[in-house]
Amino acid sequence: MRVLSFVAAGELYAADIECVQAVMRRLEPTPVRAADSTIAGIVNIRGKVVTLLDMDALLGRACREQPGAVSDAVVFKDITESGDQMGLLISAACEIVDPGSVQPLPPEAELAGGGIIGGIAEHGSKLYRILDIRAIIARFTS
Amino acid sequence: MKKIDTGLFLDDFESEAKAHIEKIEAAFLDPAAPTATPGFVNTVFRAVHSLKGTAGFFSLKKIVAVAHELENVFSQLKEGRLRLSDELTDAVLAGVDCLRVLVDNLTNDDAVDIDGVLALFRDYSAKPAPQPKDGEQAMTPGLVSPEVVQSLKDAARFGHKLYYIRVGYDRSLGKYYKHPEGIIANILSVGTIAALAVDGNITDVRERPAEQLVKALTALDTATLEFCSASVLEHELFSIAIEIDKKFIRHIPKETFHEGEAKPERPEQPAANIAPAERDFSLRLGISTINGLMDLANEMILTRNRLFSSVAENARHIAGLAPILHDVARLTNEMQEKVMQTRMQPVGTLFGKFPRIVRDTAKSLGKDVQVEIVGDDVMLDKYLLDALADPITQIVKNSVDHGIEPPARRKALGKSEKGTITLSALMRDGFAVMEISDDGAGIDVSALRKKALAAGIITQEKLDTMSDEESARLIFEPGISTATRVTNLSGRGVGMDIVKTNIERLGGRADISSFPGTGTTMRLQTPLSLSVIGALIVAANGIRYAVPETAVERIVRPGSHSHRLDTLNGSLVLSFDGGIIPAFTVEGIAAAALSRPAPYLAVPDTCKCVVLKASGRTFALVADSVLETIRTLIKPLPFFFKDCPIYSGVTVLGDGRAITILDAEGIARLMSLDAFAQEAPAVSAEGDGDGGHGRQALIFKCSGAEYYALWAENISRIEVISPRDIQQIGKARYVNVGGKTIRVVRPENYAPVQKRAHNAEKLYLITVNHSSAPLGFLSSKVLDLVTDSFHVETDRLKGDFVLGTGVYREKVLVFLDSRAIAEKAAGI
Repeated sequence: MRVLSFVAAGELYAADIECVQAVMRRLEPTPVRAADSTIAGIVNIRGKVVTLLDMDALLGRACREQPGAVSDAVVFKDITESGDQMGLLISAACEIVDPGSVQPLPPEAELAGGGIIGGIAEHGSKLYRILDIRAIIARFTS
Repeated sequence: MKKIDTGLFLDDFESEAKAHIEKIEAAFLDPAAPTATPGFVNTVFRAVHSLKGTAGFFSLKKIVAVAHELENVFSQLKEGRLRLSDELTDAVLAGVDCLRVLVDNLTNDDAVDIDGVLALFRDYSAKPAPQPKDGEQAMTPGLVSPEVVQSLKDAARFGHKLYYIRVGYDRSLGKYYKHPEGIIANILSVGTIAALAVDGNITDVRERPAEQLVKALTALDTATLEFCSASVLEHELFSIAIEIDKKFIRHIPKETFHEGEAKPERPEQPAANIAPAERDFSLRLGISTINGLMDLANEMILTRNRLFSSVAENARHIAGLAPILHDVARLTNEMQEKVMQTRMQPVGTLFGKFPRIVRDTAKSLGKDVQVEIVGDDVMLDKYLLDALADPITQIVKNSVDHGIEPPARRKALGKSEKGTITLSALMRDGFAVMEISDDGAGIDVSALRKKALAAGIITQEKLDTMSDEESARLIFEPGISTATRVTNLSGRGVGMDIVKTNIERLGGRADISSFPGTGTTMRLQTPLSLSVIGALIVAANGIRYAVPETAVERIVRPGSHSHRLDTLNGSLVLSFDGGIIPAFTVEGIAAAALSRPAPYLAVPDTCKCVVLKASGRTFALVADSVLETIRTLIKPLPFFFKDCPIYSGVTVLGDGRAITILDAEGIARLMSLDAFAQEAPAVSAEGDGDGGHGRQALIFKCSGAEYYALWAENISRIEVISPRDIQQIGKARYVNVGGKTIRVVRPENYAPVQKRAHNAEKLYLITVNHSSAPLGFLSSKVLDLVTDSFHVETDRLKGDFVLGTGVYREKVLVFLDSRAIAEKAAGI
């Protein structure tokens, strides 16, 4: 599996490259009041309104970004039934790597991962937390 | 590749077939038509004949079988051998339904059972059917294989016309040809042969050259020959060239399998030709394609705006640039408009399905009801039409079930036995207004009132003030149903409130008027399009929001005498038109949506109040500024926000920024304005004016039934407190509010009234500003801040601490002398 690695919430993450549509620079999400606390805001990407999520909030931590702050984001392909697209605020996109096998998370780490990390993969000397995009979407469907 | 092509043709066939089916159904349901006039019969015959022909082309045997039965019945009607009866209409409609199911399952019709429908026609088909003319007989199924379609399509591309030839060949009679070779030779001299069947056996023309075909034919004495042929010649010329009578040759419009730009052929022999389907219904586009186009058009406008702003400075220096930019501006606008139009469909497509629903519903109830349609050409957004289908169906079924009386009762009342339901649509002020009227019994208002009272929906007090017209609107209340019996159609009391809610969700309004014995009219008003709205762009706390114009009553700048923004019960209120209405900041609304306490936010003096109206409730949205009014494309709210009740969608502004659209209905519901609307009539209908002639008073209640009033000018603020916050210090009681200690008094202690214990969880503290030591009155409920020319009488109720009594809206108010009370409490 080839993954795109990126830094978010101060940690190294990766997502299946098949799920990624684009990495967008310098987005200015419009904050949405009354929305779930994990939502950083909405942006217009080529006529499509994409909802951006905050990694810290997804992990249950305090957001470090100010609402509406300029940020880069990785935008995922639409996998929801309604065709809505989602992106994650990131501090840097790194590289595309093929880490080989993905190990399941140890149970105690699973808890800390907020249920959105599907596994751990190793490449070079780095550890990547592989995001489970469907699990992120599922948080909003319950 | 060929497989895909066939699929495309099937798509074309599907839309064409549906058009034919609708035509047949509409003809049979048109109250004016089913008198078996020649025009009527010709229409349906032609439709079913075309359908059968094209279905045969694709080897859709089940469709052919059902269409054949219908065709048979229609031809008997045409020749007067059969009379149109109710029973026959039922059979035809069943056949139409069956065809519809078959067309919906073109590629997988195995599961569709047609035997039941065919059995319905057994009685009619028993009569000898006329021998169809040669040219009219069904094509051998499978004659036109995908390969043949492809070759015909190729030929059509070069301007060839396509023909189906069916000719009986009898060597002994030599009726038309001396030699079968002659037929083939003649056809080949002016065109090609794409397919051939001899006595229903398909002969592969690609693998067997013409000579071999000739050889095969010479061995036969009699045979039925079927050809598919392409030729550049017109029908008549082709007939002459191949020496076969025109009636044995059928022109196949190339649109059947090639979506070309050529004009449809006018059938020369309507009954025998495959009539081209209605052009209006021929184009099938996925809504996603249209939405994609719309997104692109919008992107284009954004890009154009960027282009304009970047070249604006230099445009003067480039000769000829200005007119080009002008054209680009015009073209992009026009393009956007055109793309918008693709989503619009006539209301007729929605109304058209009701004659059938009404007929079926009426029949099951033993009633006779006809449908009249007026103004079916009003164009509405497809989404809207789809969304209106359920509410209108519910209304129409209600009308048939509860509105229209049984025939005997109608006769006794001197009405025509046949009831009428009228569906009408018209455009008014950028809205579509649809009316569904019946000439039935009307709503039994007294029964409705009793029911509403029994169900606890309304108080007797309120009922007494309601006119019949207002009472009829009780039908929209949840849990109301006037039907004395529950039927399987309606009468479960879950109808009209949902209808109303759904219409309002579409940005529309629903209203009813009813006259006993004459009928009921339900009026639905909706925007023409859900996708484009006029919106007010406001900014609040640095974020822009769109507010649909339809919800906006007025924009006011608070501060002036008649429009004052106050704090009441710790909430913002706006004096508006002589009454007070609740006012909210977006932050406050958001906090409520998240069930958090409202944040304290200083409202700047320069703020604007956007007065909104939703579900009859008026409230104000406090915004930092109102920026502009735009027409904008609504996009559905991403599902990540499905739990946010305060937004109805999102949109993209001219500068490319995505913003949310506030939902006035949702906000009104969230902030539970119902209670407010009932207890404090927000808008003074009496027109007690701009406050210039009256004095403002706050009306409130305490533990008892009495209404108290304080002059507003003496009040500094109102807070919500909990009884637990009250502390006893010595003989006096105090409460700490915002770091200040305030002496608390109960108004009952200062007026000659009964005292009861407070048991409310929430109390209001009305602070007055007479002395340096602040004093607060306890209240269980703050009702209203009103301006009126109060006449305070001093003789009826007198005391040291009471100014007197006044009357406001038939309520006696005890005016408290706050100064005297404050002085007494302070021990002065």
